[in-house]
Amino acid sequence: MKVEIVTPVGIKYSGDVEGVIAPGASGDLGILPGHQALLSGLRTGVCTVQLGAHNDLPLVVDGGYVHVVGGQTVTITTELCEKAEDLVLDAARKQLEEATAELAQTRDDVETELWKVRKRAVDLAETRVRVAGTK
Amino acid sequence: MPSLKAIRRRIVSVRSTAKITRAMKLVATAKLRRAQERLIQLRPYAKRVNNMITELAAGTDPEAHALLAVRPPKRTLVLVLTSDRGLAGAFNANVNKAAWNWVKANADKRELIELRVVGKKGRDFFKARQANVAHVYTDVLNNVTLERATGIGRELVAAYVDGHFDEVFIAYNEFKSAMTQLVQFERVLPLPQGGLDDGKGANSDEPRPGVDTIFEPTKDAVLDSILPMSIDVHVYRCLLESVASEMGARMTAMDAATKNAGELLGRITLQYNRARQSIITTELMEITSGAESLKG
Repeated sequence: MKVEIVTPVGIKYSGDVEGVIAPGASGDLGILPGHQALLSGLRTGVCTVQLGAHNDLPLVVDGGYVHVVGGQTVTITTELCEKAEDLVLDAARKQLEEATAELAQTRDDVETELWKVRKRAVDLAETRVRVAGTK
Repeated sequence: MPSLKAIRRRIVSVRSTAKITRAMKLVATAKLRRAQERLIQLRPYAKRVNNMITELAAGTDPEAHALLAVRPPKRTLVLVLTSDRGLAGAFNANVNKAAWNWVKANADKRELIELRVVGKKGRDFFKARQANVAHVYTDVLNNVTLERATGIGRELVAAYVDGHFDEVFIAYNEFKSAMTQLVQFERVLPLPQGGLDDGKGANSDEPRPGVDTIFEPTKDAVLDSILPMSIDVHVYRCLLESVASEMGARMTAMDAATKNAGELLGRITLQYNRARQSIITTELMEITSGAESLKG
């Protein structure tokens, strides 16, 4: 199965893999060869590319879409994709602390838009910590 | 014939102009390389987004979504992409003229044509012609980001969805090479059938979609988020195309200016030497004729 992860700054990952676990908008999506044609939104989270037995490549993705065509081609388009080696664990932790503190000061009921933005920042920081921790 | 001093002053001035144009050319070359790289990196992304749109649009009734539905064009919005700075050959003039000609040609066919302009050069051009400019974005091309493009894209989509406008066009310079920029005048809303131009022409080599595609969470939800996103990506690409074109045009213009300065310098230097020579000759003649007359 061929997987491509494409961002506005280039193709971040491309290769033959055994499967992908993508953070779908309505729950994680496990995609194996022969999967039915699919087009789904993604949320901010970890996208795991399964290269083989016990060889997983975790990636940070921040929204975007996953597109399965013909059961053999998976295309993930996302604005941001990071590998563990792009991240620094301490920096990610600090970012998570700051983002959480900011979110705590925002009220969901009155500042809904701002809250969503900050919630996404927390999600992103959390994902970064998780991926950075796998190094 | 101008005095020696005047010619010398001229030489100095031409030489320093050449220095400036040469520096501007080098800067433009470096910036062009960076802009070109970003454009090349973006292309696969724009292509994938377009593939998804084509798949979605293929199985959707165009009337079903606001961004796909074609309405009779009465009110039109035109976004013109220009730069903040000049000295870039015909870069700004071409795109401004193309947009202005379209506006003049279609003014009596539409109830309203409103312009939104990126860049000070476009602002000044349309201000001088008293065009209906509703909004000016400045300081965009010298630092193009996806966020900025998204901001502009969202405003276009909002104005369209509100029903303020029935169609949205975008006029920009497409980057062909450092020597050639092609002015494009494209409709972005309602989204054209077959998707937006992704800068590489056709996208027909991709596998054709099946009809039994699953959409998550729902087809409408995917449409609602992906269609505005494709506009953002398109605006982003147009901005990057404009930056690359601007730098290419400036590089070419400044290269020509530097060459011309060199030629001019050669000519004035010749003139200077001639003038100097003739002064020396005159002096010599004065001396010899003075000596001759003393002999007598």
